[in-house]
Amino acid sequence: MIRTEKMSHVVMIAPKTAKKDIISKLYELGVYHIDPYKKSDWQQGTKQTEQQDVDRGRPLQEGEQLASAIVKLRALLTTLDIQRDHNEQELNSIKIDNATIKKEHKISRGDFSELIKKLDQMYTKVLNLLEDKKEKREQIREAGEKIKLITIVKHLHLTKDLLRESQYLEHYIGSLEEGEACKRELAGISSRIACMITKSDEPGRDLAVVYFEKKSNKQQEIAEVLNKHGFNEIDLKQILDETGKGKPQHIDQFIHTLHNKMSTLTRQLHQTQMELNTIKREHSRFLLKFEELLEKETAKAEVPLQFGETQRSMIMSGWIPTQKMERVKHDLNAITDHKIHIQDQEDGKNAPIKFTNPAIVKPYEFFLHLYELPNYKELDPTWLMFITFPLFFGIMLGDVGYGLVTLTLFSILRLKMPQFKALLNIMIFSSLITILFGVGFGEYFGFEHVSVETGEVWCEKIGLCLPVHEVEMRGAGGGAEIERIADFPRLLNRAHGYVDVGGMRLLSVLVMAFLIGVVHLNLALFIGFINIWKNHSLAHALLEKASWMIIQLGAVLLVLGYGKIPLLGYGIYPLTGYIVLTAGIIMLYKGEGVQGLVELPAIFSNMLSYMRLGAVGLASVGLAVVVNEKLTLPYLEKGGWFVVLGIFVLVVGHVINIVLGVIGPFLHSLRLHYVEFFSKFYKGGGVLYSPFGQKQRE
Amino acid sequence: MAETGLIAIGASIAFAASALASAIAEKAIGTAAIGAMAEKEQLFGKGLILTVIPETIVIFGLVVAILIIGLAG
Repeated sequence: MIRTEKMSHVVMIAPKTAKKDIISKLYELGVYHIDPYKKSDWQQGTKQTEQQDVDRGRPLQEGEQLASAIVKLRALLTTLDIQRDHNEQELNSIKIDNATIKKEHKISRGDFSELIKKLDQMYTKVLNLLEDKKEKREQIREAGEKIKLITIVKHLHLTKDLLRESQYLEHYIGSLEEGEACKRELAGISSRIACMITKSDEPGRDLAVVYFEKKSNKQQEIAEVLNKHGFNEIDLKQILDETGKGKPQHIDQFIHTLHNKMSTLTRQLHQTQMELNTIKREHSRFLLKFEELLEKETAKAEVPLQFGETQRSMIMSGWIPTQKMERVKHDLNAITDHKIHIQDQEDGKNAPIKFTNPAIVKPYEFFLHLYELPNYKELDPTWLMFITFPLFFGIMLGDVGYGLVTLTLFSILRLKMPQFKALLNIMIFSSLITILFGVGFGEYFGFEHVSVETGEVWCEKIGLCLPVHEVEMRGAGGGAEIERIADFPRLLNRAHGYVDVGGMRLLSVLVMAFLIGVVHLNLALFIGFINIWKNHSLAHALLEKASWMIIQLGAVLLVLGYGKIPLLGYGIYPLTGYIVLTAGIIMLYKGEGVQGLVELPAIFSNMLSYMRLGAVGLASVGLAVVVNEKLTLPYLEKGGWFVVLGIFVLVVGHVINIVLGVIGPFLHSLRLHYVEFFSKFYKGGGVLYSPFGQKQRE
Repeated sequence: MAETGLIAIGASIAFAASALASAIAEKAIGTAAIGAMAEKEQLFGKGLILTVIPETIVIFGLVVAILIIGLAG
């Protein structure tokens, strides 16, 4: 698990006659990671005269047919609204594999013409039905419009004669708002305007017929009034032509016919829809399965595009896990009757990477996908993150109560959202570590102790006897007073534990965090050392990575020398420190050049950066203490309605703190890995191993 | 008495100034990172790293603030 899977670079040359068989076999094996053909790769080193033209491969001949079939199939899936993921579970539960569908539809290997014919028929049928549906809808809409217009004619008692072009009279017919008001306004313009108003079917609008003299000069004013009322002209001439003379009995007859036509059309539309539904119901399983099958076959048909081809042979280049090599060789030789040349070479620079982590470490690969995959020559740091990520998270959050809440929360989310399983597994594990550190720090929802009285009650009732301590409480006034409390047992007090470092009183949790940083960074340097040693030489590794360790040693010796602190009983001269430090710096300069010198202070600021492990935790404790002791307790002591308010503040405060307490430690822990840790050894730039045939099958 | 107040003010300035500084720095980087992510989603990891780099400033501020409070003790 420290290394990614060992890969062999495999180049195969085979006659084109075996193309189809080889591709099928490779697909079935699902282990060949193909390097796409590049013309330049094959022309290096060959003499111009000997060089035979190696070209990009051509797809299998059925490729085109399959591609057009898949386009039609997807169009069908969309128009029939067949949900892919919705049916996925159902499909998987049925467990029909491609062999079954082939048997069901009686198709021989590689021959899809029957199925494609079936698909074509279905496609044409569905297209016709859709066309039909569209046409019927249009007809229904037209009939509806006509009914609307003819109803207007009926309401206004209009006849064809009335609407005839006349020498003297001009007329407007249309709908408008507030018809009666409009009528009054028109009457105000001139008494020689006739206006008739009726209610229309549209809410808030009336129908109006306005007659006036053609030679009248009021035309402009009339138009203004009508516009003010939102007049919409309606053309009734055509509809009157259709109804004959527009006599009442004709009109009723006409409306009746239209209604009949509409209901017939609606019935037919319904039938068409039913037909479409039937097709959907009966064939959706077939369509989805066929899509899967077609996708697979198209992948096979198109894969030669990634190969090289000459007139008679094809050349493939790619990667296979070394341990599977024998099997692949055997199988390919068997199906081609030894007419294939396979050349394999262990290891290579640009090999794709395949993680080999056990299931418990696997979720942490997520972090590498998020960042950058390791290259083939590097150690895979996933297992290190598996140890340190939850550890850092736990140290920062470190509270039994919060740990329990996040544990429950992430466990529920894991059930609800299986797609985020990897991330949630990490969070669940981190929550468990949080609880562990919570016990170590003696923190329960930010409470570090309870009052002596409560402690006595607990001791009597549930047999949980907490030790009683006397502590100095510093009040707001600055004066110290002694108070007795029942303290939770703990290994380290985060908020009040101090240690003495060279005469300075420092919070022990910060010092601890710094020391963790020293260990973690040196671990990173050590991994970097191994990486360089393996890929270059011991000398390179010493100069580039060990030099950093020597610089640290020099710094420590300097501090010891100036502080007059003996090491193993021997006093140390500051000079020793200077010598070691200078030696380290010279080595670094030789190894990494000026860039290394520029980065010299970074190693110490990186270590200081690990203090966040303590600092983020302190901030979280601080917030919890404020919520508990400064906000909630005073309210609770007041009694009455204040108790409700107190509980409200308590809940809201802790919810906020938990949200911050998840986001903060998550990001900070991730950052310590990405920025401080990885920068010491990680190069990245790897390509994920994705063998031909694998994706379709998974 | 008065000294305690000054120490408290000193500690809060140390923390507030460093918090502001990292906020300003992260604002600029975060904007650019989101822009880059909109074009290429795989940049999330790198964007995150670049965005949180100035976070160190505020941690140092917090540590310094704690050290200053230690003076009062």
